[in-house]
Amino acid sequence: MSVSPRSVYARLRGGLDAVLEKVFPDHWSFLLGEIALFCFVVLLVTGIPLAFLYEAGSDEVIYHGAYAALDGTEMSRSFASTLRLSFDRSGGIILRQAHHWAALVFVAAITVHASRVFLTGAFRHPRRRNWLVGLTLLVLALATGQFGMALPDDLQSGASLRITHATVLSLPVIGAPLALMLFGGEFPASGMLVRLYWMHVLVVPVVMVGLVGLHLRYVFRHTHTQFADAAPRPDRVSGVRFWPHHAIRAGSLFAFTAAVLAGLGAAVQINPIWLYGPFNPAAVSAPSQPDWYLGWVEGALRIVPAVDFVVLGYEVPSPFFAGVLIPVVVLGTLYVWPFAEARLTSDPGPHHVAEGPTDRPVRTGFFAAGLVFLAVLLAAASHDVQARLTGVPLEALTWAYRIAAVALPVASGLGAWRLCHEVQRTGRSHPKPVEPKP
Amino acid sequence: MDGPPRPRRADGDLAGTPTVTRPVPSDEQTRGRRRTAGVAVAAVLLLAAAGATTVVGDRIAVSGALAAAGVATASFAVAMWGRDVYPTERTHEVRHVGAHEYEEPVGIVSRRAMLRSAAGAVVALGGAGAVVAIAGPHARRRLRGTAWKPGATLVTAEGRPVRAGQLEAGEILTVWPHGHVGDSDSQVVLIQVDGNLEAPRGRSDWAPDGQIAFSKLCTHMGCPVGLFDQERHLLVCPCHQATFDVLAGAAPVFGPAPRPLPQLPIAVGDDGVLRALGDFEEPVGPGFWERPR
Repeated sequence: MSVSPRSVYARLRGGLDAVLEKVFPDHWSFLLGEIALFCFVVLLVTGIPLAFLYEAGSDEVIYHGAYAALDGTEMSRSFASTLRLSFDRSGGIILRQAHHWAALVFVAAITVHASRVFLTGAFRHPRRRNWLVGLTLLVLALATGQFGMALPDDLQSGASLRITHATVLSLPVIGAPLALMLFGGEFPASGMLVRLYWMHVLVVPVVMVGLVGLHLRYVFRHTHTQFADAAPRPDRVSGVRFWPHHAIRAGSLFAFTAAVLAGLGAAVQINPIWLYGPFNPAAVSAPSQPDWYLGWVEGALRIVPAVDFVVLGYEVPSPFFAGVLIPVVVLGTLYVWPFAEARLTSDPGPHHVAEGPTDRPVRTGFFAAGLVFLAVLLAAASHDVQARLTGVPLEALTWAYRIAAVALPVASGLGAWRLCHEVQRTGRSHPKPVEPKP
Repeated sequence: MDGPPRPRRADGDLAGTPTVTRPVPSDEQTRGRRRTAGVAVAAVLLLAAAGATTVVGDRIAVSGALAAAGVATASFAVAMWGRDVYPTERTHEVRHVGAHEYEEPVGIVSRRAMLRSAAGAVVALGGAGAVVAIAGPHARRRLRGTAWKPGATLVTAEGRPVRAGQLEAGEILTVWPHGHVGDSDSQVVLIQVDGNLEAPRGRSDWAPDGQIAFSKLCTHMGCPVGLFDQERHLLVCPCHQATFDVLAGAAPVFGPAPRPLPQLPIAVGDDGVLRALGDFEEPVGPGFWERPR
């Protein structure tokens, strides 16, 4: 393989032509992944200046700045620098809020995009590896969201970090030493914030950028799936070229996404840490909730009954079941689904045709059950606020959620399965997919 | 408009140049272009308004929202312009569906997959072993005790010793051992109880005159248990609503906490100041694998 400038240029040119000529099927639901990508870009663009403005440190300093209510108060360096960049740097508050809103929308976009991929069967071979990459991106997004939330070192995020610490502590055998190693000491360790800073600002973003690149490369190589009625021949992708059609669409979608996130950052308050106050290990504000995408874990922690298991004289503490087991089962199911489905349906072959949700009643039924389960847990995450607002006693509400967490997913799963069969009986929503012969 | 003037023949015809006729836009296209122009104008107006409110007004939320709305509208205009100028032309690309795309056949666990799983399991177990070896002894030692020693004075956050009888009935106070104010593990709630205390076995002299002290760290996940229901004598943790009955040795009556809050034995010293009789009899805070039972 020659490495002369001309051949290198020829290869680059060929690569560029391949990108420009790439065909994009134009169903609206195929743009959801792009929205997630644009949220990620906004996160990077707002995150880089924030990384320079913010100073990590749990040593105590005295804040002197524009926020009068806390002027002269002793607080950690992290909290003080977050206050300063919010109030004493022009535009800082917009950066912070836009970054936080972008994180919330990012996880929502990934979830909706992953749901589309799941319901249309676009995770099947040859896209199983890409499904794993995408799922890992979701997990990393949750993790880095949690890390970033803890950086201002305020009362709320400190409680959240303590809960994370107790979750790690609950792991059998390795819990206590692992918690000590990860946090750099007993909670609250003095080196915690610096570690979180580097994880959030460098380690996880770099890994995510790499995985996003791999994700896009896989889509490029495997070509996008397509609904059968939009593709005249199943072995061809039919759509519009990247340049200029799709580039204009994607560009305007990016501008729209960035505008919405910037607008939210400018106009809608989020995470007002100055109202919570600096972290104090002996206090926690009520009500206390994490960001929405961890609400399902929080809800599980509230409604799973108190149970300490004893194994061979050792303890498996209560938080393990809600904080570790349930997330592992949920995420584990998602990870193995493509492989399990291929085996259980005895259908290993490559699939390039996107199915409608109603074409696969069992898969859609499981999706509905899983989604409702997570939704019930998310709703349970604020059950103390609900009890106060409605006057329903907390014990009764907790029992209602416990029953709902089991009954509602089963009911909705069966209901969705029946609904799909009904639609199939009365008329197909999409033509029956015809797979190309190998 | 048309470039430099071209040579003309006597009959007025342009010499040698091909006649170019622009296609006349249809009504549909004209309407589309007018719509696009309208949206573009709206975007410009919004952006202008944003600029104006930045200069004149003080509310960054308003300017920011207007600017965002302006950019969002502009993005619509761009998309509509794209559709006007480049009407959708569908094309296709051949997928490469070949036999070589098949991975190992489903139904047979390939040797490669088994080796990969085995290697992964070995790495995971090795990592876990390393963690336990490196930090295990340190963890076991640190998680056993707090800073409370026999005779330690109970002090408030300001460092003032707590005198017997200082609290009113139903009042609650967060205290630490003298010299260790702010230490997370040693935080204690001191409550003046006016009801009948059910002292658990062996603890009858741990709470002089209804002054009872418990670890403030919730036994569920370690959040400070700061909410006190005076009427029902219940300590409630704000994180997941674990509820403990103060009159029954802080036993959990509701919620996800599995164990009572450890009780600190206290007594009144000769000088009338409250002092601890010793450390907690069990580790404070959330449970863990090696917790002594």
